[in-house]
Amino acid sequence: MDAECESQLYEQFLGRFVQDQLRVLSYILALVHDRNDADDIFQETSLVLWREYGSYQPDREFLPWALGVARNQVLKFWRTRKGDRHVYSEVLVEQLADDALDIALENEPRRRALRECVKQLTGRQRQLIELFYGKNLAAMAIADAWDRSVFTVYKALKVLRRSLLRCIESRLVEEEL
Amino acid sequence: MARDDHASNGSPLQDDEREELFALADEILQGTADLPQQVRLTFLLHQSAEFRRAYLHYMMLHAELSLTDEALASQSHPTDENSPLNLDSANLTAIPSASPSGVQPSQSAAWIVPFIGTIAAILILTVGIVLWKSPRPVALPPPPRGLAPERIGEIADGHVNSYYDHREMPIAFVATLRDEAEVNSQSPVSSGIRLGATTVRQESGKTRWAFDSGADVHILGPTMFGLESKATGVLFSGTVNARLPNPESKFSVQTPSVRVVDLGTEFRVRLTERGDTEVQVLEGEVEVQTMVRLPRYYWNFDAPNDSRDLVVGERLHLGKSVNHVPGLIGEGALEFDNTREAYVEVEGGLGDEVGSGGFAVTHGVSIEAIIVSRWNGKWKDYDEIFRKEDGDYRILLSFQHDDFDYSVPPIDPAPCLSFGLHLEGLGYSELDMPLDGKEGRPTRKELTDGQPHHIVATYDCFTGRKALYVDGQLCFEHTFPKGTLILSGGPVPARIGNTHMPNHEPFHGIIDELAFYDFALSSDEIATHHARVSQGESYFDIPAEQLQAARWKRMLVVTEGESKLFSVLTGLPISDES
Repeated sequence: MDAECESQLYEQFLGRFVQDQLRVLSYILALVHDRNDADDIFQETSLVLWREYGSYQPDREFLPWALGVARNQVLKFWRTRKGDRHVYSEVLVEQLADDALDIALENEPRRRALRECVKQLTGRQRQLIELFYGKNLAAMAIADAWDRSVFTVYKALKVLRRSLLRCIESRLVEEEL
Repeated sequence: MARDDHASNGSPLQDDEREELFALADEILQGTADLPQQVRLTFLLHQSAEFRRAYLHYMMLHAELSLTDEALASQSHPTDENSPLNLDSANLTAIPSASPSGVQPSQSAAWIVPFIGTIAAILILTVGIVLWKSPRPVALPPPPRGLAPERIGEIADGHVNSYYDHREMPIAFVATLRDEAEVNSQSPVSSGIRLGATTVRQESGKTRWAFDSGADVHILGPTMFGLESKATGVLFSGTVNARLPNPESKFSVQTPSVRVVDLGTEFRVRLTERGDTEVQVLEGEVEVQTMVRLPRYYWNFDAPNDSRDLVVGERLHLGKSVNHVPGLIGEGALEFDNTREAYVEVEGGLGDEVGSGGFAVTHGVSIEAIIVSRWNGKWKDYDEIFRKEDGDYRILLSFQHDDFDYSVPPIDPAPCLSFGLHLEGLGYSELDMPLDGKEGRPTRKELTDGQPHHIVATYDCFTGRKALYVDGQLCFEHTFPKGTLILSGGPVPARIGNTHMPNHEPFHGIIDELAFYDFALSSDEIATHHARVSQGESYFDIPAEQLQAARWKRMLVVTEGESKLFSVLTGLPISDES
């Protein structure tokens, strides 16, 4: 492959990857809740995608392929973490990873609805998103910052997620109508 | 297994199912899910595609929140300089616009080794920046589970004045699932897995369980059956078969009206649609028993120098700020002066693990007392009536005013009477009754008017109903899913009038006639008790020695080939069938 072809291929890959990277990352985060671990899996997935891109068929959709690679990386992660795995069995991990593929592929309406629903949150709730989901602060640190108990922060996170879930589902129903 | 209907017909989850699932998901995300919660979650996720779908939507929402504009915008000031993703704006200008020379995606793996670092750097620089500007997580203290109790109080609001011990406690194993071949392919657990107390909800098929006492039990779907202890089960609906393969094996099945005790047998117990209990003996014989509805522990505090309970003689150790005073009922009572030395510790009733010891209750509980309270109702001031703190498997009845996230149903922070239990699969929660004078509830002022008040807290897993009664009247309640067992008991001594060390929640006032039951008193029983104490009499119209009688009474023996039906209302036999 000459330099020009290589460059074109890379740009093509980059274009597709940038377009779908958030979906790949959210798929990983939905299955692996530790941010550090998810981070590592995402990086490994990125490398594999680039490594295998030469064998990728351009007429195939990029996202299903990328999610499939991410799925394998998640399963690899769980297998190597077998010693301290304490939530999911191997069978269940595979089942969840497969089910999550379907959900990730059809998740765009929910993501759109989420963006709208976040706008309706209170200032305090948006601050919670910034601190917990943005800056990745632990609940304990936020509790210290707010001068409240850690249980209050846990509760606020639960309320945040539940209210957003209700809002998203309500919007989806409205869209269907 | 249970609820395969969701999988087969795609029917939506019920609200209570979704709520349970999301509560478990929250525990997972918090890193606070204990073993029973993990087992329960696994159970649910194995059950049906609908459970998995709802769970994954919830987790996907959690994931997407990290990628919202609000979250990404806040990531512009990384705090971990060691993170490979911690790139500042200067790096951005260095991003190459094309792939590195000599690097090919693909055909040969040989390129990977020498260039992998470069590729990673480029990928991260190029695409990582766009989406994931955040650093790795800042190193922060671990989650609350496992914190020393003293620290928990400090965290609460800057000084020690509240107490929740979140230490992990060992949980007694009860039974092992056998014969995977007989289990539906959607089985939540692998053959051989050992479980603690839990309720199996089996929609169809048959599962076989080896109880630690030696009993071989078959659950025949549709059935809801509680694996209660090593030698007992609770039947909420459906049918179970029990076989005792050797003479040392022991097993009993409790239903809403009777208890069926093996006498070296194989027997079947079925609940009819009406709730009557059908007992069929296939081999040997069983004894059918009725419950003697008396407390497991009862202190009337009448003897000034001998505060043993009247049931099993459990002794108390009194802190130096506890005084014996004239009884609200009978000769004596205990007065607590709201200081750290105002505590009473029960010397016995301990177990090695959760699910063992005299205070281990599973299918129901009641705590009953007569009190004169002088609680001030101030923020973060707590007055304990009764508390046993086996980590998060605690039982408590106390006055509280805080904003901890334990209230089920949720309430706004307010002075309340709180009844806390750990329910299997749902975790620890408190029924917090606001003392606001609304909807029949008393105000704090009414409860601290210097007069004696009769307080009763009950939970019944046959109905899922958790309730608080004041002066004979039902004042507040919440209903959990039917069949939800209590996880309780263990190695920490029970306390009356305070917490376990460090004594931060002393009662202020008088406590008398404290009774602890391993079942839920009925509304009628509570009304009767209240009527008696209103006349200055104790709860029980029997001589003290009768309090020590066995808690189960033989009604009849059913022998091989017989089948008998027992009324859900009376527990008495309805008809004979051979």
